[in-house]
Amino acid sequence: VNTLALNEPQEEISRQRRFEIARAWKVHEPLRAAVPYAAKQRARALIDTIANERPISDVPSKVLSPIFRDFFRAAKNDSRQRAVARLKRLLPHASVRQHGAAIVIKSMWAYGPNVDDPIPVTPKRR
Amino acid sequence: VSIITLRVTPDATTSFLTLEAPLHALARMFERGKLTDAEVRTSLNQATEAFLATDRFAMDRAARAGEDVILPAAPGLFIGKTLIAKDDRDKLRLFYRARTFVGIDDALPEQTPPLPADAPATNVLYRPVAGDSL
Repeated sequence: VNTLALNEPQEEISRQRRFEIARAWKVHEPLRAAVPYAAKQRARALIDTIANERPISDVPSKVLSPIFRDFFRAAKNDSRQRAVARLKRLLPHASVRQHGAAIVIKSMWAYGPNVDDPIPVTPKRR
Repeated sequence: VSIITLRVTPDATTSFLTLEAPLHALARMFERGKLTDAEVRTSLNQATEAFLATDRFAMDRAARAGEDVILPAAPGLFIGKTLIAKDDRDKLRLFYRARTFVGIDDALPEQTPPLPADAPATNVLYRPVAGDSL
């Protein structure tokens, strides 16, 4: 492991070099290397495509998760804004917002080692 | 912002959230895996099926211990965690959230997907609930 490399100023370390350092240290997110903008845009486009393929009113209720089934039944004739408001009421601990044609839930309650002790699971800030 | 996959239980009475791939993991699939949109969809389904085939007791333990779980998502692997969340019937359900994606050649030797359950009756698909909340 080349420890000297970690003392180099970060901006002087090339992408390839950062990856080599990360391999040496056996970590997978080399120095919090950012995801390239183009890759994120492609991921966003895919999310939009899938959201448009399956708008809310087209999803048959029998294939929906029990978590969301009642919501979709109630929200069938809602505008997106009203649907978002309804979902916020249904999932008070989640962050709910609109993203293009999709309604996005960004966090969800999960349960740690002690099931009586809920831990909020929130994506890391990027 | 995520893509989620849903699956129907074998008795076709209900369906459940199975796998969540957040934007970051999806972007890594495009960046590191050089995948097309169609290939990403195939990979998400492959990872979903792999999660459903795992031993639910092992996944339950991993969730409570906060351990990473590796799932195959050709041409790479998802690194993420099994989570436990309550559904609207107050059942604790298992689902998987990918944190990132690595190419198969970049995976560490110990980063291997869990083996499928010994019997279908103990896999996640058969009963995707956590602990004893049956």
